[in-house]
Amino acid sequence: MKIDVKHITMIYPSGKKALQDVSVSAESPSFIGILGPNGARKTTLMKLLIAGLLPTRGEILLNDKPLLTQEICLKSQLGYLPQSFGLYEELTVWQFLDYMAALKNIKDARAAIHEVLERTNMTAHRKARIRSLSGGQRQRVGIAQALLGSPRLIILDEPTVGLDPEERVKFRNIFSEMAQDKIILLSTHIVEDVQAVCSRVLVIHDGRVLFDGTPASLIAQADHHVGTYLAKLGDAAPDGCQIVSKVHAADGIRCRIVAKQLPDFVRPTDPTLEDAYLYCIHHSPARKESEAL
Amino acid sequence: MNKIFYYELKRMLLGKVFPGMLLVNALYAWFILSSETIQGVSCTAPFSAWSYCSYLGRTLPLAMITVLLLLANFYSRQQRRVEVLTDATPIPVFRQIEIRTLAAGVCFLVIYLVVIALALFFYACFFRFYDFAAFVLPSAVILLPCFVFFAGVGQLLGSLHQSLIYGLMLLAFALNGIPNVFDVSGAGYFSEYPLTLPVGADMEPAFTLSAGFLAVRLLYLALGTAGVYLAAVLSARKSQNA
Repeated sequence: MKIDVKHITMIYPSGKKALQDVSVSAESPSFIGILGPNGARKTTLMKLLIAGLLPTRGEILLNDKPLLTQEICLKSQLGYLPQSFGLYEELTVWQFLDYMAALKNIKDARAAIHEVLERTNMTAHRKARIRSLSGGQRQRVGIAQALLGSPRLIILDEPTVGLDPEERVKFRNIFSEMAQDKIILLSTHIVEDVQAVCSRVLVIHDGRVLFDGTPASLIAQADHHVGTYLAKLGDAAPDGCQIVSKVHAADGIRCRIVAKQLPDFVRPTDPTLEDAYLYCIHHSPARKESEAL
Repeated sequence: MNKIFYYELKRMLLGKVFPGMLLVNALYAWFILSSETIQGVSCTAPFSAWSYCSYLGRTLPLAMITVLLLLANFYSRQQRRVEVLTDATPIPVFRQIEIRTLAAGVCFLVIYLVVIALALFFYACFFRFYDFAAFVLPSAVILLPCFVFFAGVGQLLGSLHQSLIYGLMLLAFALNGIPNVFDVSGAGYFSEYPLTLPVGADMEPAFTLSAGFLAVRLLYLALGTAGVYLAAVLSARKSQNA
């Protein structure tokens, strides 16, 4: 499977620009993490990819054919978990998945449901009415319906919201296993999840792609731009620096910062993906270019 | 498709609306039978086809409100939240609307199985009347266009805005009993039209339907069918602009 997003611009009817000249390509197998602050338009990009929105300009190709002519083909190979979704409260977990399997036209629905229930650790709750489930369990039902039938393209928008840390790790490992022969797009705020499983990262800000590459190359961009220093209580952050963390210690507050140019008193340190993401959002050359346009 | 239909039907039949409304429909039907139908319409017997059709027509507005309440659920905020998942599946929007219309049709049928069964019980018990075969065709002519019209227009309005379905419920009452061929439920037509016909040997006018009435029934069928199609087009557009 291959998806090409070519110079997509999306302007809402209100005139608000959502995406500006976005181009991305993905071929299976790949596991792409999409990072960006709130309002970066990650969800808009995902909706375009599932043919849930029509772009104002540009085109999306699925296996080299326009997406709009391949909508049924796309949706028959798609597993989608949106950020916010509803479930039929009156149905049981099994019934809801059975209903979704019918909508997805899955031939051996029984086996497919068993598999996703096992994977999402919901087998014990299969007969429970959805209205009786906790937030985390509902999220697992959402993930289960996205994985039903082992789709070739999986789009997950904040899939680990509401899950406890142990489950989060478990799910990201499940996604990683599934990525062997699929395209998985994972939008998240949790940089750690991206670092753990994604082979490629997209950083989106204000509807523009600021970075597209491996996590290692994103980290490399932030080399010599991350450092630590010891601050006193009430000290302001140095100009042009973003504080990543503050740890209260016996000798003061140990601050970790990201900056275009580290001040002299700051000791450089190796960047993490989180540092690199912040550096990209605030200081990357792509950001400056997009602001200039 | 059978499984999708099964779940849509199950959600309707076992939801909050249907069981209660079925009971209300049955009680209302019995009230009509025992207070109005028992007297007969337009100087005909209570068990004449005229009285029977008038009875069906009188019960239709409440049944239509029940159907519209069931369909209104499909345009609720909760449903829209589920649609973000279902819209990402390969089933076309038109097929989804077609299935839910069929499911609403089965609910309507269940209501009328009860309403008609009450009428047959009433005729058998009070009048020892058992010649029910003559009621089959009039039942279809009255019920089918009315259901298709309200289900189609209801879904068309629902796809524009959920509150418009509630407006249509008021219209279901307003259009009831108009004494001409445009009477969507037929109640007014069946109590007025026999008075214009000659009386036969059995001292009652023979049961016939005017060409105008039949043509308007066909018109309602066509409007309802067009409503279903337009609702599908609007829903598909709306989901892409969400």
